[in-house]
Amino acid sequence: MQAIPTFFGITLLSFTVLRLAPGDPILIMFGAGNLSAQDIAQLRSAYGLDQPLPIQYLSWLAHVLQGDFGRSFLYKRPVIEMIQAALPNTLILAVLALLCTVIIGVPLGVVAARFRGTWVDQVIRIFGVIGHAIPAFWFALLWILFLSVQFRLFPVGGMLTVGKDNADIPDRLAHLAGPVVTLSLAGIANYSRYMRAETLEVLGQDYVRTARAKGLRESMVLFVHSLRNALLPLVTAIGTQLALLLSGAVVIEQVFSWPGMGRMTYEAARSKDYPIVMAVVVLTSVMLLVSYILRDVAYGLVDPRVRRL
Amino acid sequence: MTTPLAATPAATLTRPAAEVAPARRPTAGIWTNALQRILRDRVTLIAGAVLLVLVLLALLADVLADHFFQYSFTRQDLLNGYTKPTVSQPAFWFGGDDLGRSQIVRLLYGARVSLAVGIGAAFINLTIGLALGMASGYTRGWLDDVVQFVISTLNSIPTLPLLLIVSVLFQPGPVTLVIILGLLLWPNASLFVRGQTLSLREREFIAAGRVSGASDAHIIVRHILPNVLPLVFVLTAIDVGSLILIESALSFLGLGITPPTPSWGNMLTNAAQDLSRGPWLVYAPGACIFLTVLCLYLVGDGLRDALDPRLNRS
Repeated sequence: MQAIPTFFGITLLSFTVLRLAPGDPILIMFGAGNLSAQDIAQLRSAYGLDQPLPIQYLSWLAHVLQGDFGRSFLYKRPVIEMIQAALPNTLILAVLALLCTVIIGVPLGVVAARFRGTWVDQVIRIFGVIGHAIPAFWFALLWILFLSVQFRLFPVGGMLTVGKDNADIPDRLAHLAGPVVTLSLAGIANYSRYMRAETLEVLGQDYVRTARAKGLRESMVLFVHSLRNALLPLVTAIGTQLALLLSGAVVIEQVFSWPGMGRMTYEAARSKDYPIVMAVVVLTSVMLLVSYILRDVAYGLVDPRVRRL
Repeated sequence: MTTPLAATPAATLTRPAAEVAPARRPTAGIWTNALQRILRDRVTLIAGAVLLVLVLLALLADVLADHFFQYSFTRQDLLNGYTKPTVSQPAFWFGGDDLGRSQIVRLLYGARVSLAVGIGAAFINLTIGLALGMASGYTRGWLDDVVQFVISTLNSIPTLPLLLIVSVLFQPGPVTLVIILGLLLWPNASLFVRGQTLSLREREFIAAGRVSGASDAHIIVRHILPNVLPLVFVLTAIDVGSLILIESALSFLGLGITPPTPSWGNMLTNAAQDLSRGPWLVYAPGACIFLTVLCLYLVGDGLRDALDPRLNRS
């Protein structure tokens, strides 16, 4: 139940940071030119900005707890509506990227551990370090430069070719390829490194020796006995990663002009559209918190050793 | 009793006792061992050498720009934008950008900014992380509760959106950026140091120190710190690498280091504006980031392998 104070910590922190901001939100919303001092004062009281800060925080928090994040300064639309529009786009990216990460990263790690010390292991480890160190936005630029501009295999950006039907699946997939590959790169590297270490550790356990002594085939030992135990910490980490991915890949969505949460947050931040940014930060943080709680619960359920502590 | 890594319990004993004790076998310390192991590790050596060259180039940026390339990093030639890479003119070895500026000279100054931001922010991260990690791990109690609360709060906020807001709000120059990154990204280092400290404080030589009346401060500084130090070196290499990645992403978005100061990240912003006109502008800055971060991670990995006492047995 440590999550509750943490939630207040997060909201307080994001509220404080935004209120410390230079620049008057009223002037940003309505422009500085055509407002008299009286207008400004009226608008301030209309938006509750003349209240003391603690009161502002509490009233903002009360609204947030009811799912009301206010209206965008710029678009004058309810923030929650804008998030509902952007979230599905990010969700597709996040889910596909996560699938790629798991489907490719996990076997790579297991294979590296199985062939420890051979060239297979070396290649996978080198890939692991490279995937970790390559700047995602540079990879995205190279993708566009080679595959989109030079060879015209993939579209440059966006979600659909203008004029194409919404249900044109090949076109949609072509648009998804770049962002998904870029987004899963670091994850694949991470998971393969992690699975390698985890599998190596499990392979040293007594029950694996027992399984081998029973005369089980190596593939049985690897996939049935070792993988199941090595996967455990991984499965619980996936929730956390999904929560993180949902805040949107700011840089990648920007490079591929993908209209998701990351791009929305970035543009909102640039135009000082506070309500949107606050909503994204608070929502993602809550999702992260929930994923942490789920992780702890899942650990307890699956691994009896944890419960004893 | 296990031999502690660097600080020996004998150091806390009084002199006569040390004389009574049998003469210690001259054993190689952890640092000598580590050095020997690194000298045999070719990958780490090469990565370290590349980093050294990069740092030297960054330090010599002024000299090289004035005397070798004879082209200042602000010099523009608006009529001759997008110069293709050419061997004949050193300043345009890597081509010129949209404003006719020399790519290679700007890369040198960019190296200066990127490395300085990475190292500066990592220094703050590790100072805070080390101090709080050791103090909270050693004392436990209320201090630990407070530090862990702050860490779990910071860790529950997604990093990039948080940095977006903060950089928009404060429109940082290089120095402010170092402070912002330094103050926000220390939890990772702190968690590692705390973990190590927690296990160290249960060891016999710490108990021996406490029994012989050493103060907490003395134990932390003389006995915990030297044993956490190897970990700190590993963390530093990796932290500088990830900070350079974060700085370059922020600068790429126009929120970190902003023009006219060149950084590898904001050079790519420029390059992205017209990919097909100057594809060479995309290669070099990204390759610089990639190479630097790669070498830092490799050095970090190498240091970890060299300094990990558990590997001593093999």
